[in-house]
Amino acid sequence: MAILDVQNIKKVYTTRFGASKVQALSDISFSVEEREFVAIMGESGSGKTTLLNILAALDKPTSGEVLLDGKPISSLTDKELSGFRRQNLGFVFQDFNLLDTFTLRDNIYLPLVLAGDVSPADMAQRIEPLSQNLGIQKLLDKYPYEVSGGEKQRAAVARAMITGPRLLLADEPTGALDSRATEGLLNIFDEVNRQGQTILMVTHSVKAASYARRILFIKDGTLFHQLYRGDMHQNAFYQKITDALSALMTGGAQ
Amino acid sequence: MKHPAFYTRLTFSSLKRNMSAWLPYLLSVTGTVIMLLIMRALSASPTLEELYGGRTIQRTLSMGVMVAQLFAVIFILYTHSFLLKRRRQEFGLFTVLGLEKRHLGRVLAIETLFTALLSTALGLLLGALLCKLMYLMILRLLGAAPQTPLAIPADVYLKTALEFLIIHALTLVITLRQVHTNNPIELLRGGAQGEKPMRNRRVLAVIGLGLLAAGYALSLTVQNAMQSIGTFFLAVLLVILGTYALFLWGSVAGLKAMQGNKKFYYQAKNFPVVAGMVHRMKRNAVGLATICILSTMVLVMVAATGSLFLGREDALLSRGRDARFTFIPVEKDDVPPVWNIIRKEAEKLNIPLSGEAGYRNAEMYVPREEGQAAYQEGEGNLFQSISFTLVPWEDFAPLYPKEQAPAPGEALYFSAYGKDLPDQYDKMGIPLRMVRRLEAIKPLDEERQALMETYTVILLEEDLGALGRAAPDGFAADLRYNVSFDTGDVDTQEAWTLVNNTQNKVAAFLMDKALPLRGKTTTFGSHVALERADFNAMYGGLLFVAVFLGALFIMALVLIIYYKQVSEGYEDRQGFRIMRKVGMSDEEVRAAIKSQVLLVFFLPLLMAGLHMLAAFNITLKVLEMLMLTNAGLFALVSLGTFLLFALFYLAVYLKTTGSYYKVVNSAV
Repeated sequence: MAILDVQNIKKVYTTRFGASKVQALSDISFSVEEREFVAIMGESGSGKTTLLNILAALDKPTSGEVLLDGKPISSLTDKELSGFRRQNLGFVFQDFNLLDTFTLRDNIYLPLVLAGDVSPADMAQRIEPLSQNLGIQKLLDKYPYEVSGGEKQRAAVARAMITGPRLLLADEPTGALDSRATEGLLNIFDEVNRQGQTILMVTHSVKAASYARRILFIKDGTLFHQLYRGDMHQNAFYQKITDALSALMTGGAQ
Repeated sequence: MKHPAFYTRLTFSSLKRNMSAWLPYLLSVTGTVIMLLIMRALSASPTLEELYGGRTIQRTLSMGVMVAQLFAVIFILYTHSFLLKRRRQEFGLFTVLGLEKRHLGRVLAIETLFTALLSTALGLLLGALLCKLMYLMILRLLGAAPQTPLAIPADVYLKTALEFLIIHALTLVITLRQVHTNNPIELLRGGAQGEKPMRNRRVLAVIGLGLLAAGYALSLTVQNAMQSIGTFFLAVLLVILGTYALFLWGSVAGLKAMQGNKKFYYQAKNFPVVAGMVHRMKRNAVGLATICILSTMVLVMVAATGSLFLGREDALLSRGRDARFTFIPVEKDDVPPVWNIIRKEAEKLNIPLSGEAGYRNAEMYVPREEGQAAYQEGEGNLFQSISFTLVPWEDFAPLYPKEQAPAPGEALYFSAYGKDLPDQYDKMGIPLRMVRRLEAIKPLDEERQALMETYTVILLEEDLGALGRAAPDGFAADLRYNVSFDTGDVDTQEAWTLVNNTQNKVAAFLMDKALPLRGKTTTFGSHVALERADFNAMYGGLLFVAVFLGALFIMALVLIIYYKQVSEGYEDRQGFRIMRKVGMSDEEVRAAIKSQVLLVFFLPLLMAGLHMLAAFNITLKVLEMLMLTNAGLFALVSLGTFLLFALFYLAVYLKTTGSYYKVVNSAV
């Protein structure tokens, strides 16, 4: 069974005074299997952030259904939604969204604290391997404004993963990082995916997308192309993606 | 300065942008100006001085002004820190855009000048208006006609304006220092960086507790009513400083402890709140301490005034008979004619007399220490000496037929507040054996015995004469004659006529009879109705001041709580938004906010209650100076005031928490 099943999602925004309707997403359908690493690529304004917000249960579609492990998100009440999000999804934002009043350690603990059913001892246990994996062990007692962007993003990844989510969602995770930090982060994604984490990443960076195993292309609110990496080497995949994008630009299939 | 117009425009556009942070600051400063102006005006106004008891009020107020000054400085720096925090980012931006530090300094100087001028001018104007208005209102309430408007001397305005300009200069220095010492990047990060976490300084705890203990000790050990006002304000100062120190230390220690207790800390409702507070520990502590102190001031003032108001009849009741007169000098055979005059005057006004009593007495002062002069003009006299009222047994016996006469050389005595006299007491000039101490009895206890150690000694007339010859120095040579009687209810006018006419007629009579050696007569007369009128005038003045100041302090209190909540709301807003994204539900947000309120709510109130308790003794002594001796009443009123205040405080907190919640939920 697919871990994530997106069925005919449509999202329409009405502008404030009802003057015009903007169709952000029109009929998106796809699915993600367990242990997959999927990237959704598209230019700004293509609707990818809207899509991600719906997948993260931060927003509701105008029509269509999102099923996680076969369970429709729409069936959840508002109260259940926060809990659902916390338990099943991990989210990595473009602007990190770390709290300046917490140390990195406390930032990472946050979802567990909110869940309320994990003892401090357990939390300490969970953070150990995670922080080692991400290379931020020595920084745990520092505050976000004391560390670099790359380190912040890694902490954010740790926060997203500490609950052991079914699905890790990432929204332009490399957007605010320099090339070295970008590589570092993407390698981490690769590694955790190898260890079994399902990842869905939204990006417009070709480099980032090339680390994924499957890419969905979104334009003007629809998915129109899909690429599989298969056994390809990363560089070859990179090339393939670039080709697909230029074809997209020129508007014709080559 | 090149391009002055540019800097000015920059300043004003910056102010406009920051209106939501700057306006409350402006209002707070203006409010403080108003408060200080009013207190100063009242303490220096010649109009108030004329009211009965006005001088006491003024003396109290001028000491209050000093406390208020200290408070004003702390308060303005506190509210200024909120403003500064929000503007740090803007400063960083300016620097990055190319403004050098000195240019930024100019902008800030213009801004501070503008704020200072505006708030001071507004404050002085509004303060003067408010003061005069309240004065008229209170006079109206008392039924007195406003004779002269409240006069405020010019130097009051000047002094107030000056001290606020100094405070504003201080804030400018602090701001400039921040801009100077921080590099642009740090400024840009502005809001993000919290206060440097304070180390748990035990020293602070020691200082805080020490100051508090000193203040409390002063308050609890005051015996002497006269000194109490000065001591009162010293104690107040100590307690204020101690409270600040203690809250500062307590916040740090408390929060560190909470963070240490992982079971407590890592709960959804405590987690964000405690972490947030760690970042504004110092500011939080100052805010809480300020709330505590203002609350205490309100509590003590309302309780004291309330007791005075409710107990005012008590003070009059303790007096004894309705009318009292004292005539000097009166010989034994002058007594019947004097009574004839009294009775005739009363008859003319149709006032029935009852309970007529009269006795002669002499007054004597014995210095407490050897070698000191017994009697001096002025108030110092009261401490240096013990005062004795000497009554001949002859006059005493008819009033108290049950008592037995003392033998020659013996004396009976009583005293309301004095210690027991030794069996053999020689200090008056001749040796006397104090045979028995009696219960204080009317009408002889009608002197104001609360303020000093006084004794009434009853002895044989020949001993009295011997005393007179032996101690010419401390002995008021003439015998007085004290008259008292009841009249039933009379109105003020009648009472005044009776007293006045009686005094005049008796004085005339005595003058005719005065022996050539003395050539001087003195008469005193008063009636309960007149004293009541006087009291009301005095209480009216006190009430005016207290109600006014109380209202002012309450307003300040509400403003501070509101300001604190709203500013903190803005700071926490981003954090809550992120937490929602990570998966915090609305309910959990509400729970977190509730726990924050609970954590900080109780502390200032509890501390204020404690302060109130400690202040009980000293406030009572001050009240005794104003003729209120009913400690039970004061205790009851204090309790009632505290409960009422607690309710009010709770209401304010709940309402402002609503505002906090709204701000936290508003769009970033």
